[in-house]
Amino acid sequence: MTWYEFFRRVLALFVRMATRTEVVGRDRVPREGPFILVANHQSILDPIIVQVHCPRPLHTLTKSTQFNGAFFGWLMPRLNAIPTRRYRVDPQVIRVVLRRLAGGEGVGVYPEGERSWDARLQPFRRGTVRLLLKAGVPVVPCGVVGSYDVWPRWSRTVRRRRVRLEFGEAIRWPAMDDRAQREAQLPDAMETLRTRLTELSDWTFLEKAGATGGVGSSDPASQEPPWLRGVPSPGDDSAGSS
Amino acid sequence: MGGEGDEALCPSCGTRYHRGSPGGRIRILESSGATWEVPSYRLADAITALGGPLTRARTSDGGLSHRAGVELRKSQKEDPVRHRGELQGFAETLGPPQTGFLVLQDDVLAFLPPDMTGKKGGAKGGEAEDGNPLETWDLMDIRAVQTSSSSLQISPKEGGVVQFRFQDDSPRRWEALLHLALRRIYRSRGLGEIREFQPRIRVS
Repeated sequence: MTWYEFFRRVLALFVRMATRTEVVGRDRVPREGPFILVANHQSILDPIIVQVHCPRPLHTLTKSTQFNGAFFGWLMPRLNAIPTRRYRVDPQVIRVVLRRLAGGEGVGVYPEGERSWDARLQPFRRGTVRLLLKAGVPVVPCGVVGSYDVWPRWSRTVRRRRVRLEFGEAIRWPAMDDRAQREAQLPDAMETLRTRLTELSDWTFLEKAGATGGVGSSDPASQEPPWLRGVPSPGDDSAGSS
Repeated sequence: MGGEGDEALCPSCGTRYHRGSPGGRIRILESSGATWEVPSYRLADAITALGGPLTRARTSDGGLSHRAGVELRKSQKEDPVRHRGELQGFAETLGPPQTGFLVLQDDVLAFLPPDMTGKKGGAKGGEAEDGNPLETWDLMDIRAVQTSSSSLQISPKEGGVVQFRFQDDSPRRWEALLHLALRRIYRSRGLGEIREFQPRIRVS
């Protein structure tokens, strides 16, 4: 058994304890060959939940500070994490990703670049979408809903909640080696990706379903304090947009 | 804001904000006894409606001025990360923490030593030039801005990363404030609209 598989099984126990996860569309992940899985990012748990439930191993882009210290420096590469210096253009990341894909493996990326503060989908990093266009492999959109309720970025504690993970139908862009071609395609690709991830990660899903059982799940507006009722919410018009 | 752990307390009106029962919601306990529970994005919208990061940061002449206690760490080196003999990438090592005050004053970000806080008006925004800042960064020399966990990171023109962990302020607020200040200065110098702050500042 590889270290990756060992830790995947250990983390699966943790995910089971911390969440009640429903998984949809596992069969949409290609059974063989390279692919890039693109997911929204609501919580620090997302990469764990995704890797536990993805039917194939993933090499996930991870911020480089996660590799600090002897333990994490040892652990992270064994979880197939690829260190990414987010504060600069990091060509080594591109090399490693393309190498993994050339080897027929799967790569996981979070195009928002960091966790959302309020669960809404954030703007995508253009460089990430350029990478998708350059790679020319199936791109599997993956929506994670509910992990924010388990462990939002601003909290220090985990609460067991329902999580829904959905793998979408793969998007297929041809490999674009030409930079001008990628730039021309970039706006459409970003829009396509945003639409697909928005559909899959509708953050109001659990509230609409009343599944969280929280105050206001039947009529959230009536539960707001008077000073908040007149405040416009851009997210109400289009779930997940930012 | 005061409060401990997951609680935030408004010192002006006494309203307390807790994590709600579905963990992504926020429970509001007003001093009158009224209790509400709302999605966190509704409070984010309210902050935006109230003026966003500009709340308390705008000076009477329309400039920007804000300060907060921070712990600063700078990247010292970047180590290669190898696995099975293959180079995976690089990871930076952050140096020892220094405590002090971070001050944003229009087009300059300054890090002041902690002993300046006791002076009358010492490290107050707008007076950084009166003291002896340990570090200053012209906003035009900042190459990237981002939050990382509960810290704010900037990338100066010399390279590497400078990380600020706030003792009593929000990295999200500071990120928004820096975005705003950078957009203003780029616009005022005719450099265009900033469309991305990470992995480096890009204009359209």
